[in-house]
Amino acid sequence: MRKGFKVTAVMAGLLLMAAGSSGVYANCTASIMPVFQCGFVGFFAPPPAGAGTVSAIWWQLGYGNNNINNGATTSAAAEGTGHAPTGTFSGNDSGIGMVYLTDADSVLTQYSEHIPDGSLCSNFENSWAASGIDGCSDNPRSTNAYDNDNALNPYWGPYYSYCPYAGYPAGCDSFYNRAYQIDYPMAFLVRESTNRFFALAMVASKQRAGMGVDKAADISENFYDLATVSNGMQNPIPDFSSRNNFIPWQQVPRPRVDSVVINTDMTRTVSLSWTNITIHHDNSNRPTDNALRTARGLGTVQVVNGGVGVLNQGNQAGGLCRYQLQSAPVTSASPDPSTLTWTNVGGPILCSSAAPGSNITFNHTVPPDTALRVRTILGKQPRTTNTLLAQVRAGASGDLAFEATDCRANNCLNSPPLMIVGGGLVSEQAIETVAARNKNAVTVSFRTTSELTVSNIDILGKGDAVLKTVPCKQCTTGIGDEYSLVLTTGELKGSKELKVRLNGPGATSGAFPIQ
Amino acid sequence: MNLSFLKKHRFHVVVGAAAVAMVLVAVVGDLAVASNMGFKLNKQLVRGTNLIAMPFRTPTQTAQQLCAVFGKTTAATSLAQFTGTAIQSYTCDQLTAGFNMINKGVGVRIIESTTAATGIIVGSHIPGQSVTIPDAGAFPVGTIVYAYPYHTTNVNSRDVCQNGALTTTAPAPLLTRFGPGGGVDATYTCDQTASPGFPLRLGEGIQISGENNGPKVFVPSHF
Repeated sequence: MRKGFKVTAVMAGLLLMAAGSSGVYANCTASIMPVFQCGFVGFFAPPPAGAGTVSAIWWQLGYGNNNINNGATTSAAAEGTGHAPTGTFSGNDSGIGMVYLTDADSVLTQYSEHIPDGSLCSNFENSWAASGIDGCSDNPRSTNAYDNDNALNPYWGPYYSYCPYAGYPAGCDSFYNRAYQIDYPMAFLVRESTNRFFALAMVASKQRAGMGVDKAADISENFYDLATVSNGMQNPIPDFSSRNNFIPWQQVPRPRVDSVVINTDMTRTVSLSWTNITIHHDNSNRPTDNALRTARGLGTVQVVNGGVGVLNQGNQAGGLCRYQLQSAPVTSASPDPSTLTWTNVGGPILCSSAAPGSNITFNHTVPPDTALRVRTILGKQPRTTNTLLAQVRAGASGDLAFEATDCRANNCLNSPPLMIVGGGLVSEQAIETVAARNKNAVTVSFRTTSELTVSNIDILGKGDAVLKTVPCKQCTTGIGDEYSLVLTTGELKGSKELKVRLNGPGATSGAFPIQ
Repeated sequence: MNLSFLKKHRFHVVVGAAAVAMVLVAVVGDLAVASNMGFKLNKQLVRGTNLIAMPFRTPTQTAQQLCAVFGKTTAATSLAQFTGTAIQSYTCDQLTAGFNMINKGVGVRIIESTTAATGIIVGSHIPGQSVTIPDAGAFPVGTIVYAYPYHTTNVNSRDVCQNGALTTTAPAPLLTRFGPGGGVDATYTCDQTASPGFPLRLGEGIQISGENNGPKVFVPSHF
């Protein structure tokens, strides 16, 4: 059988299936588009010590809207566009659906001895067709019915093909083309309730089987596979140690003070920095044949930046992550961030302005008694504020309101961590105290709200005995800082819980357990 | 022990003991097909969409095991189980067991995108086992692949509607059958009471959705 005929038959079959099963449309009703990870032996690292309750959300890059979550159904023509119900930009995202995280040990029992306890993965429950999900990741980018193919990024399709028919024009014997590489990657974000840590992965739909034009033979609807992440940590299972798909948690960015100058008017000029996050991804580069689409009169809805891989999308203006520094006046050391009056300091800072893991720096002058925080905005930068169907279906209006913590507005309840520039109104305290046991030592970490009169800092054990004394970092600048130190088993002297005392003001934290 | 009873009624005792043994064999082990409800089916998996009617009792307990039945080991074969409220998915190239099969009247959708295959499905029925057709909702809520018994007395889609006492006034539930071509080859709504609808085929499931007066719980009739 000639290859062209085979492909024709397959294609006809698929179109028949699509037509025949399209009676009921909601969000991915004609296809499922699962989000796998466990079965391909990938997982997220265990949550860090001190982390709270873990939850996850996802969205499709360029199509996410976390401001409207409704799990609503839509029309057949609008499925996958980001509009549901018709006329509402609710986005293609996890909406009000439940995103399940499974204990990796429990489903990969054959490898459990190598999997760190507490590792989590996305298993068979998660898909774009699940209940409560907003939208569908199968994007019909135009109104052409052939774009609504119920498959993620196939390498075949008749409308934009070089061959209108198999064998015509003469010598044209392949439906292979890249004009249907139109479905954008997705982001999977794991957060925890103390708002100090998160884990993030972005992946394109799974690479199609075969090489070159043979990819056209893979006509499956396809899926996303978080185990394709290639810049995470090394997989701890020896059989899979060549894969770097063990996705680590990261700290939610929080400004640190590298230096401070107290001005004559008592304002502080602070040199701030925070660690640039790492976007863990699959290194995907999936070119789209925009020229072919343009030739068929669809130039205005071309795929941006030439492709649907994470790298392609990341090269768009604005990248895939931005920071917004904010400040607010405070009257105490532990203010409720949702009640403060926040003001943006400068404009967004692109994550791509520095290497992952390096420092982002910023200089700023503030009055005493000021809180600073960094909002970490994830996903694409919208190309337009217009949310009409024509723009949304082209991925131009997202992503909205996806951050490293569940903060969608200035008065959000889940604020990223604050850094306080102290003054007369701010008390000096040790907060966010954590003691995490690791083999024969305990790592103690904490943060000070403000240091105006601190001489040094004691770690207290049983009976408030001083186990260790560390020098203060800011001491008199009014700024808070971060501390991390190690106590050996011998230094603990039998203590089961610890306290932190700031000598000078004499403020002692509450007792916190050694975990 | 008084043996006179056994001597007097030995024929009945032997028959009774044999019957009890058959039931025990059928109940105790999934691998057992000793009862007269057991069977073995050479099932075809066509390219396209297949709705597989799993036996109510079968040794195939996970998605991974169902892949093995058809000798499938690549992502070209994808499985989906509709629970009535959610969808569970799997592709045959995964190293986990995947979802646990519900069986007991719930079938599995298999989309085979490359090569057709055959597999041996074995199992037996559970007489008296009820099946639930869920209440309608936004997809996938309310959608199920109904796996009727292999020796059902239902002949066509209308019989299924009547057996389950499904709603027979519009809007009535939609029954969808997939055919050997891998696509939808017949549909029926339960309000078409004058028409018998499409015939049922051994080993196939039918997709049911849109039962607005659900859940409907019934015992599938069988020989």
